[in-house]
Amino acid sequence: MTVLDDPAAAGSAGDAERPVLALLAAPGTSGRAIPLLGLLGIHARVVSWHRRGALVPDGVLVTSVDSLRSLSTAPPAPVAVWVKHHDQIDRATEDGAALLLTANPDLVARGAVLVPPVAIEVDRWPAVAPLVRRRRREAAGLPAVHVLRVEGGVEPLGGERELAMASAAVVSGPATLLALALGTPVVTSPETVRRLGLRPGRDAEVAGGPDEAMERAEAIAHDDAWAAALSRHARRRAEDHLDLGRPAREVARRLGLAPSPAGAVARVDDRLAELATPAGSPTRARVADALAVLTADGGGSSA
Amino acid sequence: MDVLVCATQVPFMRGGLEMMVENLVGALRDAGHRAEAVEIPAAWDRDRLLDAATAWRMVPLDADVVIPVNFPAYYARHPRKVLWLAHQHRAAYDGLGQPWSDLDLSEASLEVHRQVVDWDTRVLGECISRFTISGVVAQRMQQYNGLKATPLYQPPPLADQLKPRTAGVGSHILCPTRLEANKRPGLFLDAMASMGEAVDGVLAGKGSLADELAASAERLGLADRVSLPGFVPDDDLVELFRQATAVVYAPYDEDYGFVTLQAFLAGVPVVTTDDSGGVLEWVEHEVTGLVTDGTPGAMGAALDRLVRDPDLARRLGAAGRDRVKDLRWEHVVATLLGGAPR
Repeated sequence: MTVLDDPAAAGSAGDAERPVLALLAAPGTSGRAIPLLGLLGIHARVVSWHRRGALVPDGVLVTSVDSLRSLSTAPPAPVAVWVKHHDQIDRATEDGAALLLTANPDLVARGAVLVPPVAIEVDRWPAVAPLVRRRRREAAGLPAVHVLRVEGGVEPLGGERELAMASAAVVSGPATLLALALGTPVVTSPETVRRLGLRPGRDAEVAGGPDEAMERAEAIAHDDAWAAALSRHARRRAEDHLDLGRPAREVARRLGLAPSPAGAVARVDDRLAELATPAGSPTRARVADALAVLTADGGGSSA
Repeated sequence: MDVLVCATQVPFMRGGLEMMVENLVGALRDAGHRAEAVEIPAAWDRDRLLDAATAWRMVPLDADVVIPVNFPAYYARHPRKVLWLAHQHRAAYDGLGQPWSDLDLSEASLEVHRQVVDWDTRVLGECISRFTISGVVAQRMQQYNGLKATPLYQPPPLADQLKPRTAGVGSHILCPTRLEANKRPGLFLDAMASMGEAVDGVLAGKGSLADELAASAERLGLADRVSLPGFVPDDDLVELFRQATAVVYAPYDEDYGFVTLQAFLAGVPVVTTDDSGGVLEWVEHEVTGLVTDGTPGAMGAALDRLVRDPDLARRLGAAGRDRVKDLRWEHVVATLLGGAPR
């Protein structure tokens, strides 16, 4: 996927109407912006600050506080900038940053938006509670108890589906994020718990070795309340601390890259989003039907 | 405080939940608060199941505290939401697979099921404190949603009027219940038919099974012994409780069951089954009543035992009364609002 557009290249007519987001990346720091740009590209045309040509950015994404000075004294558009330490917050604000981004959870209390270094777009993966997993297994003809072991990644075809049906899973590596987002009761290693900042015994159970892990997962699979609590906390952890969608939406909103609808219909959307209602779900379709007559475009709500 | 009690309206129906809401609003007012009930109708079929839930998210509730009591009223959105849960949508939980649940294994059902469990978990998790009307309701929430709650028991309707008789033995077996399948009123008739003692019975209540039950009583040869008076006014019901030898109450996996508490307040033991849910939080075998395996023979034998041994019936009934006589609405109100300090 091409993250940065080349303004010299011919753009489509629709592209010209999209807001422009310019990326100003200091050497060695662009990596922290790459995952976000994939999502921001939905809202905006993303260009390099240095190669923006005649384009006037609607927003600027800066990967380091030191680079803020490269902008003119009065930034031409709202700026979001990464901060690493407390002392960078005042500097960034003095230099006109409208939004602070950080990988440091300690800075969230000071208004910075968390961009987790290891993250997943949680909204893409609806949570599946243990009771529903049981029904899905029944529909699929799987055993009443189905414990998975997943190491590394998840098979692109069907792997996610199986993870969303598992009673519990022993997971390590990249698949852990997906398992947590899906609300899978997870048993994992101390290393994974540390890397993802999970709370042992709450967001996931921890086991020292493979045999102990499978034994723990089997026990969870036979204990509804334990599985339900793990599932709930795993999903919340993914939403609150490991989600890439949330900072992307915040950047888009604060830099004015995405429209901020107002009014009653927008509030319905807000409420559905608050409950993590998936796009295209039957519930959103029913809400859109109910509201279609109230919206000028016959259902302009994203519901 | 200004308190709104949020409940689901079921037009043209009145049952235990409606009485509970009225009593809670009354108790809040008695305690000096301004209180109102807010009710929104809901549909229970799969395709419309979450319509009222969505509506509750949008309802402006300007009060100090809201107290939702059932699905989907607990979707109410308020920073000081204190749950006192009578029931979730049981067709999506312990009722899966029951004839009255339309959540089958189709893709459409599985998605609605996924959505309702996920939404429930979120909105129940929002509450600043969680109480349930019984232990069985709390246990279900923990089992399926991973959320803890504390049982908070209430006195039943007519609590102030129900008193034990002062002398004599009971004259009949009473089964006061709605005549619906989940209450299993037919089990009462079958038990009466299997009794050795020819004691009278009263099956009091209204419901869709009334005609079928009347025919069943005729077929079982109970027409002379068992009456089906339909709706019974409160004063008459109090007297029926007072003069009963035993009360039969054997619903399937009941959430709470006012009947049990009403019987106990009247000093009457309860005969039930081992799958009656919340009823078993009160009926302890050979302590406050008799718990059977639910077969007509076992139920009939239990009733015979109480008819033949009035001292046993009196002792179990008195123990039951001891368990419930101190339940007070004042305690319910103080507990609910104690979790929501100003």
